Amino acid sequence: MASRTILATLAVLISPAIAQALDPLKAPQGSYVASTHTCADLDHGVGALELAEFDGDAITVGASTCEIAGTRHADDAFEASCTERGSSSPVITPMKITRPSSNALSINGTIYNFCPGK
Amino acid sequence: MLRPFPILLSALLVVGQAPVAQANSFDQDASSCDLHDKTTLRTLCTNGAGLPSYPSTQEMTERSPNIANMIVDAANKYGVDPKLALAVSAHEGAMSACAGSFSGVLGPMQLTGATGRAYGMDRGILSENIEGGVMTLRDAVKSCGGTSSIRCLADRYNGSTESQRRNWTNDVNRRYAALNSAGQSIPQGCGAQAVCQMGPGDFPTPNGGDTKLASSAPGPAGSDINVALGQV
Repeated sequence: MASRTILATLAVLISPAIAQALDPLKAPQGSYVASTHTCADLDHGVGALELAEFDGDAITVGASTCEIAGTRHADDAFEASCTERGSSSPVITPMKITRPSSNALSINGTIYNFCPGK
Repeated sequence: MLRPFPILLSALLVVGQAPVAQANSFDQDASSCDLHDKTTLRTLCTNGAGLPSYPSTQEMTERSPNIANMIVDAANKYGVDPKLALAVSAHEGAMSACAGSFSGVLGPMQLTGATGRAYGMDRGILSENIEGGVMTLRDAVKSCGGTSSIRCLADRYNGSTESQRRNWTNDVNRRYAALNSAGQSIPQGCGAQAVCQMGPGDFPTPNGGDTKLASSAPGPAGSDINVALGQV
């Protein structure tokens, strides 16, 4: 009985948190930098894979652009349609994307922070 | 009765956090220093590909000496400034075999499949990834009329979004300038002999450096052979 009460209470406590999880597709659009850097570091340059861009539908890192809009099949799991620069044939690529805070995206476990105006 | 809840809830929330990627697991050198070697990136990257760490270019050459020397060999083979090739690889794939983005763009030069094929190179083979990248850079330099405009090279080599080109320009410019600054040594290539050991008549330059030429005659050493006048 006690365990049922605990589970029920947990469900009540956790479900709003899940419901309020931030939608990565509603993240701010523009440039993001890997969390090992600050936005100021972009002024003197960061590694190619440390810069991400999000335009509301797709994420670009390096020479890959992945359309994520409409490809979510679970909370953080996407079947993104990724196209390499210079290629016309997209590849379906599983990706884990979350929005750990209003100004951050986590892409396959790597956190990128939004850099307004960059 | 209610006291365990906050602890339990905290534990659940901590477990639910996405793990932070261990960037260093994607820092990977070649297994040998040979531009003819056909080792695949798949063989080298048993944990897959991902975001490497991007320290200074000098640190990368120490971390990945085989790849750095292969880049120098490829640069010499295709007539590209080795320092520029090293700076570009440092920016693109951190001189790591396992640097990669989502859709298979891989390796130290982040060669795309289409570009690799255009040069007859398989970007999944480490040495060909390097050669294909350096060939792309060679044509970029040719198209830009030299290396004075890094921005022009960014447009040719990167050819992606404006933010990426700007970032490429800033990072490659900074790394190239650092390699060109006084006192910066670069790898000499896989086939290079080690720097000669000190010998008679050689002594270090006063402010460091590798120069072994004497600017004035050294004094006699105990091991010198004395030849009498008239017997030479």
